[in-house]
Order: sequence, then C-alpha cells, then structure tokens
Amino acid sequence: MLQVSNVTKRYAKTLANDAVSLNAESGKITVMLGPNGAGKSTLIKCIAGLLRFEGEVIIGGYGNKTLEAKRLLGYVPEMPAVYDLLTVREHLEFMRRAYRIPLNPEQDQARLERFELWEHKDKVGKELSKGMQQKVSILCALTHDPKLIIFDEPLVGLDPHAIKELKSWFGELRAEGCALLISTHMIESVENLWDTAHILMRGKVAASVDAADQASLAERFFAITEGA
Amino acid sequence: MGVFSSVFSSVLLKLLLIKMKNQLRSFFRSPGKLIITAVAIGLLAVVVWSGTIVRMETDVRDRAELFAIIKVFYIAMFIMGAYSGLSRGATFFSMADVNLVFPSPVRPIQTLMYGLVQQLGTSLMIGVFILYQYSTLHGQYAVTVAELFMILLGYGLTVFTASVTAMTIYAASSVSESHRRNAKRIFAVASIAMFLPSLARIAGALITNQPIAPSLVSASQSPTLTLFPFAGWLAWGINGFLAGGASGLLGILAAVLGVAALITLLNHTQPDYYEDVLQATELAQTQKQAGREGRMTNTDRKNVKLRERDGQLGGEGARAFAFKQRLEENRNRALLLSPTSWIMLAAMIVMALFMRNMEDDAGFAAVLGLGLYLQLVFSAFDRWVRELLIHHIYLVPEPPFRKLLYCLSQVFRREIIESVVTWISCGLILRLPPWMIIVMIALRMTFSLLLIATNLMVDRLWSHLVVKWLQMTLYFLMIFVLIAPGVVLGVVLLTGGVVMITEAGTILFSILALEIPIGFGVLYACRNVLEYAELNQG
Repeated sequence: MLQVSNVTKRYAKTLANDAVSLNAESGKITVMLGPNGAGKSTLIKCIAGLLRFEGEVIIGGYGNKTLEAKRLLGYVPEMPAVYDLLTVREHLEFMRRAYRIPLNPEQDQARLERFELWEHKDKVGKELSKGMQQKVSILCALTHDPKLIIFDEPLVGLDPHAIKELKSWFGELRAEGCALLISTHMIESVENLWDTAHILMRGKVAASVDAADQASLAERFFAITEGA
Repeated sequence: MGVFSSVFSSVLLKLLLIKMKNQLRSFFRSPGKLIITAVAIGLLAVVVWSGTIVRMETDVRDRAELFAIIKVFYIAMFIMGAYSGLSRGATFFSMADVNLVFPSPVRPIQTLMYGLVQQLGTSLMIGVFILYQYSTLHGQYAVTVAELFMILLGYGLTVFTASVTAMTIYAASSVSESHRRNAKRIFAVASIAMFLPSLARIAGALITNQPIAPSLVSASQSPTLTLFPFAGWLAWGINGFLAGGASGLLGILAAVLGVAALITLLNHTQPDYYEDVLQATELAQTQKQAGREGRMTNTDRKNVKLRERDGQLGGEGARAFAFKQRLEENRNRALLLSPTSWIMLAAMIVMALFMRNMEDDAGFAAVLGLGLYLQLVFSAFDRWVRELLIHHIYLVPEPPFRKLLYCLSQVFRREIIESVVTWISCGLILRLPPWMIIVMIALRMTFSLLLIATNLMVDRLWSHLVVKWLQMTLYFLMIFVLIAPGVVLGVVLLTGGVVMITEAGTILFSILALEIPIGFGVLYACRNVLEYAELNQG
C-alpha cells in the first residue's frame, strides 16, 4: 500500500532524512521507531505530502501528491490539530463533507462514544483539553475510512481508556485490510501490535525487523541503537 | 542593606546579569540578529538625520497637542495592557522562571522583584518603535532626541505599571472566577468613567461644529485624565519635563509611590501568587513559540456561544471549507464585524475625526495610510492564513486551486462588508465626494487581494526558509514590489499631463488598474500552493 523510495529531506544544513526507503503493507501494522531527532516525524510529514522532499512516495499505486492517493490516506499528526471554533461533532461532519462521504450521525456518535467524547460533542475545539483534542484529531483522520493510516506518536496525551480503545482499533483496522504506519519512540506502546518495524537513526533506516523473529521489539531496538 | 537583601536576592541578581550577558553574546553569535540590529540602528540614524534636515522652524505646531497625544497614548496603552493582563493573567516570568526559580528556596517577594526588574527592561524594549517617530515629532513639535528618549521612558514605565497593576488585581481577585470577573468589570467601568468628561467635551465640540484639534487638546486636559492612575501621572511627569519645568516631579513621585503601594499590597494580601502566574506564563510561552515559528496568535473571541443564527456547516469537497469558515466567522463576530475589524474601524474613524478639517488631500491621505497599515497588520490574523497551518486543507482530495478559491471566498465576502462600512463612515466624516468613497472601497478590497497574493507568493517561493524573520522581510518587500507598478504608472500619467478627476485620483486609478490583474495573476501562479506545502511546525 505504501512504498517510500530514497526520500531525502534537508532543513538548511540539517539532513533530516537520508535516502530512506521502506514499505507498509495492507493488513499489517508497520511501526517506525527511533530516538529523538531520528527523522521519524519528518518522514511521516513527507509521506503525508506536507513537506517537499527528494525521492518518491507511492500510496496505493499513486504518487502521494495525487488526489487518488489523498483519498486513500488518513493522517494523525503529533500535535493535535483541531479547529478552535468548530464543535467536536462538527469536526466529524466537516471531514465527511470535505471528503464527500455521506453524512452518518449514528456512526459519528458511536465513534465519539468509543472515545468518551459524546458528552463533549458540543464543545468547541479550543475548549478541549490536549488529550481530547488528540482524540478528535484521530477520529477526523478515520472518518473517511482510509486504506493507509499514518500515526505520529498517537498515544501521547491519551487517557488509559482511550489508549486501550485505540490499540483495539488498530487491530480492527488491520483485520479490515488497512495498512497502518505508526511512528513512536515508546516501544512498549506497540510491543504486542506490530508486524514490521523500521528503526531509524540519524535520518536513515538502521534496520528493518519482522515480528516473526522471536526476540522482543525492545531487545532488537537496543541491540541496534546501542549495540547491546 | 538589610532592607535591600530582604527584597533582592543576590542569586537572582546574578541570574539577571548572566541572562543579560548571554543576550548580548547571542547577538554576536547570530549573524541574522546582528544584521537586523545594524539595519534597525541604520534606519534610526536615517530617521534622525532626515528629520533634522527637513524641519522648518515656521511649521512648529502648538506643543499642547503633543502633550495631549502623549497623555492619551499612555492612558490607552495602560488600559489595554492592564485589561489584557486581567483577562489572560499577567506575568513577567518565563517558563524557565516558573520551573526553576519558583520552586527554589527564594522568598516570593525576592522572586517578584526579580520579575519586576526583568519586566522593566522588556517594557522599555517594546517602546523602541517610538524612536522611529523622531522625524514626525521633530518636524511638527521640535522634539529633540533627549526629549524623545524621555517619551520612550514614560512609555516603558506606563507598560510596566500596567503589568504591575494587572498582576496585583489578578492575584488579589483570585479567590474565585466571579471575583476576577467583577474586578475586570470594575476596571473597565472605572476606565470609561474617567474618560466621560473628556468625551462630553468632544461631543459638545462636534455638535457646535468647533475645530476638532483644539477641542481634543482641551478635552485631554480634563483632571480625570491627568489623575488617571499611573498613565496620567506619568504623562503629567513627562509633559512637565518637556515643558521645561519641575512640576512633572509630582507626577513621577505619584507613580513611584503607587508602584511601591501595589508591591506592598501584593506581598501582603497574596504572598502565594505563584499559582496565579502559572497559567498566564504558559499562555505567554505558547504565544512566544508561535511567534518563533512565524505563526500568528489567535485573535478570536475568548468565550464562544453556539447560536442558531450563526448557521451551520454545508457544501461538499472544497466548498465545505467556505461553509466552515463562514460558520467560524459568524461565531467570532460581535454584531456585524469581528473584534479586529471593529478595532480597525474605530481607529480610522478617530483619525478621520482628527483630520476632517485638513486642507487638500492630507486628511484623506492620512486615513488611507492608517487603513492600509492596519489592513497589513491584521491580515496576518486572517482565518485563511490559519487554515494553512492545519493539515486538513492539504490532505482533502480536491484540486488545490479550487480549495484555495473556496478558502479565500470568505475573505472576499468579509472584505466587501468591511470596506463599505469603513469607507462610508470615514468618507462622510471627511466629506469625500461619492466617487472618491467608491474608489476607496475598491482600493481597500484590491489591497486585500494584494496582501493575499503576497502571502501566497512568499509561501510558494520561500516557505522552506527556516529563518522566519527573513520570510517576514521578504513579505514586506514583495508588497512594495507588487504595488510599485501601479504607483509608477500613476506618476508616468501625471508627468504626461493625464489627470483623472484629480492628481490623487490618477495615482489611485492607476494602482487599481494594475493591482487587480497583478493580484489575480499571482493568485493563479500560486494555484498549487496547497499541493506542495511546507508545514514544518506542529
């Protein structure tokens, strides 16, 4: 579903991503791990089409800047991005309208209830706590039922209930055939979920590992990043 | 010595000195900062030099006008500063102070004094723009450089006392939210009440059709404004010095005693003020961060109520953005206009009242200049600019140009209303002929188009620049570049003897004739800006 080929991104003299190549397949959870400053968020933004870069990103067979690719993509940013003057419920309605998806108040209600947001449905964006904003941000990304969903540190700021629900949702999306790419530096948060992991260091893919191997993700991560 | 050490902590004094030293060092380590400082000093030198050589002795105006301007300016700054502090919480601390100094074993009064000294420095720095008014002040009122620094000092002290006042009231009313609301209301009502005698005098002058400038000067001399806490006292002090007497000492003394009284009050009634400062400091930190990243802070109303009449979402695809923005605008506006539009309108009406008896085109030119300047400043807060900071506009699978046009449609709708309201009001005050009012409305709208085009052009060409001040400089430069052809055409036509109604009309029509195609041309050239974003913040 996602092919990243030789993506290079520079900020002035800083090389954030250096010829990165990786894939994320349908029906699998791909995680991207790395220490702070490894270039994970930059790569995620390149994939989402929010940064200019050298190289190629293909989503479902289309270049990531095409409308076809955008239809297939859902993106949850690291910093929750909500509209200050729209209510929680209106966020979901707006996403449906913008993506030309039929309105479905029942489904919206069910999703809001799942994240314990229904009682806050009439609060505007700026009245929400950071955690609630993160939940709204996640729901916005899922509204149009994308086939590739990229999450940048999705669990940061969420309460325990939301973390449990989101992890369970990850499993459901995988079962439905979605490709999930999750970027995080919290290894334990994805320990029992992942299928493939790419470990980034200093802007490059230092290693790619498969869940079929027996060792834990943490062991492999530290073996690669610290030579342990 | 004992009193000094009980109020000032030697550790915090040392911290202040280290911070100052590092601040100075950073100028030499960062070529960008050094260049900006050199350019700023160079500009100041040009302003002082040009102001000195162009002044003609016979043109000097009555200094009573200057005293009135200083007094009203200080009071306005004091009210705005203190009210803003009361609304959002006042702070003179950074997050580093909150996290490191507050928990340290230093007495709260010592921390407070450390914050106050820090704030005094910041207040003076904020007022540096006053120095650039030298040319005008010297030309009109024969203000010397030393006197200008005195005005700057008065301004700095006004901003400083506004912060201290806000923080004291904020902390003293922190018992409950209703106490705080009441304190804010009392402050607002008291401030307005002190202006009432002056407003009555101005209204009388307008009704009896007296010349407005002398009436405004006379209104500013009302005792309620002279005795206005801190700002009135400081204006009394500075104006006294400018007048060449020692009477100003009383005003300065009153301000010093007032600050001492506030600090004593703060220390005795609310020694545990840390909690009150925390939230305000976090907010200030967010705004500082936004500034560093080149983002503008939110100017939306603080309390939003959901109202049926504000409408609802609608449309599909790119059109959904237009409906969304209309809903957001409706939720944000008070009566017909948004808060920022009301500020612009009020400022231009005041300027028009001041200038209505000016001869030739001077009055309308001043109002037009102020209007364009305010448009430029407030354009950074436009909703469509903020739309570009949230990723959805880039990800929605619609053609980028369509998204852009729908995104801007709300700006054009608002501009029509604002331009008509603003220029009909100002045009009537200035007694402009109908054709001139229509041209002004058209000019305001096309300038808005030009600002949008410039913004897009900078985003399209230089969004990759990490140094945000460079982006801002390019933005201002590009505005001049885009507007220049219209001005040049006007001058060429005038030189060739072509006059459209009046000479000013020729320039205005020329600008209009070229700005519209240039604006739309740039807009079209940047049609793919939503396809190739460089959203590197957040």
